[in-house]
Amino acid sequence: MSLYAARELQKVYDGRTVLDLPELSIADGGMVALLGPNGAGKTTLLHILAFLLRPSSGQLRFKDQPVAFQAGSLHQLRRQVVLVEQQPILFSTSVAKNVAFGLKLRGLKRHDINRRVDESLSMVGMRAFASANGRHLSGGETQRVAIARAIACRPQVILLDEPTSNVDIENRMAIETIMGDIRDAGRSSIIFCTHDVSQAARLTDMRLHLAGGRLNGADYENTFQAGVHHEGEQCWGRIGRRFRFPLPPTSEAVVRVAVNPRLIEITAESPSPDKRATNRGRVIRMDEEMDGVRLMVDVGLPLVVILSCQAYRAADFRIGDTVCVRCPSEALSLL
Amino acid sequence: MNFFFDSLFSALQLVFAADPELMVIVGLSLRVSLTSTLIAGLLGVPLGFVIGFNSFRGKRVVITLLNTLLALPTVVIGLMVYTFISRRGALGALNLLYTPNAIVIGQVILIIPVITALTIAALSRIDDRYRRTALTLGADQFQTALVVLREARFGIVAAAVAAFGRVISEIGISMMLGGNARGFTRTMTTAMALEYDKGEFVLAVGLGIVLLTISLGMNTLLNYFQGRYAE
Repeated sequence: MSLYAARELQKVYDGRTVLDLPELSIADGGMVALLGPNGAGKTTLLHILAFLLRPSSGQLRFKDQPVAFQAGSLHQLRRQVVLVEQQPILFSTSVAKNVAFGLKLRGLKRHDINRRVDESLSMVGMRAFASANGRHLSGGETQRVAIARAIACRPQVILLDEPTSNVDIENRMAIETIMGDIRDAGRSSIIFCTHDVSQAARLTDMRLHLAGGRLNGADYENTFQAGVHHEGEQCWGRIGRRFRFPLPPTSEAVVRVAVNPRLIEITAESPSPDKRATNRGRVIRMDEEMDGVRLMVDVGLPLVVILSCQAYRAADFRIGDTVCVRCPSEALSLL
Repeated sequence: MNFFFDSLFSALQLVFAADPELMVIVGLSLRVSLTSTLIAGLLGVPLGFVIGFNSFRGKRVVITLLNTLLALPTVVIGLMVYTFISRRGALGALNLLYTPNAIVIGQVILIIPVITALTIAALSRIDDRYRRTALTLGADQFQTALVVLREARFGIVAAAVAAFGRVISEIGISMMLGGNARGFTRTMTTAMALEYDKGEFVLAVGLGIVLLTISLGMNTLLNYFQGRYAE
């Protein structure tokens, strides 16, 4: 069963389309990451998925049922989905009462409420703060209590808007662990926004990339604006001063291009006899990913290249190595 | 200067001796003003909430009108209500003129715009995340409104205190609709005006001290609760 299915979903503000999804499908269970730069439409999409924002047009189905945004009776649907905002706010009362809020609305008995509040706060490591005033917590603690408040309701879906963007490393680790625990418990699906590609790779097996309000395919995290110039028949894209790559024919002067990091060719020596298509760079970072290794290569801009474990072992790259990078046409998508 | 201090000293004696006439005047003033504030609060807070919480065409015009009504002179309200409740008026048969109820009616009209406008202002300062958080946790529209109302409670209590301060210190409505009848509709401000006319400053100064003390007490209480619970 599909958890969410959207068709021709659009959100327009003052004539500007901030979200435009011809089709979107998110399966039930597990964890999904929404990746994309600022202004990509991630928060707008989360608010629509939380039934807090009415789309300008299009259809959204939740658990195979159409969502009637205009009906005004969305609170029954909202009780199945809880959104934790990027900078969550706690009601001006105790932490325990904050966590109990959604449970009271659902008509639970007092001893059940107390038990669930206790369980949820323990899960996020905030049990000792139960009687503290919600306003006196730090950003990381507030984020954890907000997650506990969502967990306590045991919704079908928990939506997290950049849950670790405003917290220190300790709270970030704690929140990632909590997210993993929720996934492992299997009670709720999680959909979260992040800028952090490696975090998305660590936690999820489904990643959706948004740019300019549109989905641009999974794993297209190298999204850039490139200048276009022509040399004879060949069309070239250039980003910054030195990164260039062949483009399919286009009459535009500037294009937005996504480079699939799994299809970039990277070698110690030039992989192509055509020097014009080859860019030299330095490996500046390496991270382990679920099914490979993620390299950050400085080619005048930070370019992500993902190698399979086998290819990585064969190439034996080290941090600081000078490498040659080529973007074949099948790695490029014009957005 | 001696005259001022003599009057002040005599007035303090009157206050500490709980002079019966002074007590009747103070009691009536408090009763009328608290009743007006309560009724205006019951009408003005929900009205402010409906205007502040919803988006509709002409909302800014409504808020501008309300802000204009804040400057409504008490004598204008006195005249307006008088035309309705005088013997020849539409409500003349109810015999409201020159009763405490007449003062209450006038004062309610005076402070509904105060409470409504200040409630709207208090709501506008409440972070919209409170509304979204209540909704996403499963609250319906009414429950969400209660959450927002709770977060705006200090602003709304401040609105009520401001409205109370306005009515307990007004004179036009009390004089025109109450008539300043001794022991029946004589409030602190009308009594002060009368004593001034008579050249008797002791009771007037005594009432002034009580008026300021009440106002100080109300604001001290408000600040105490804001300091204690708003942090």
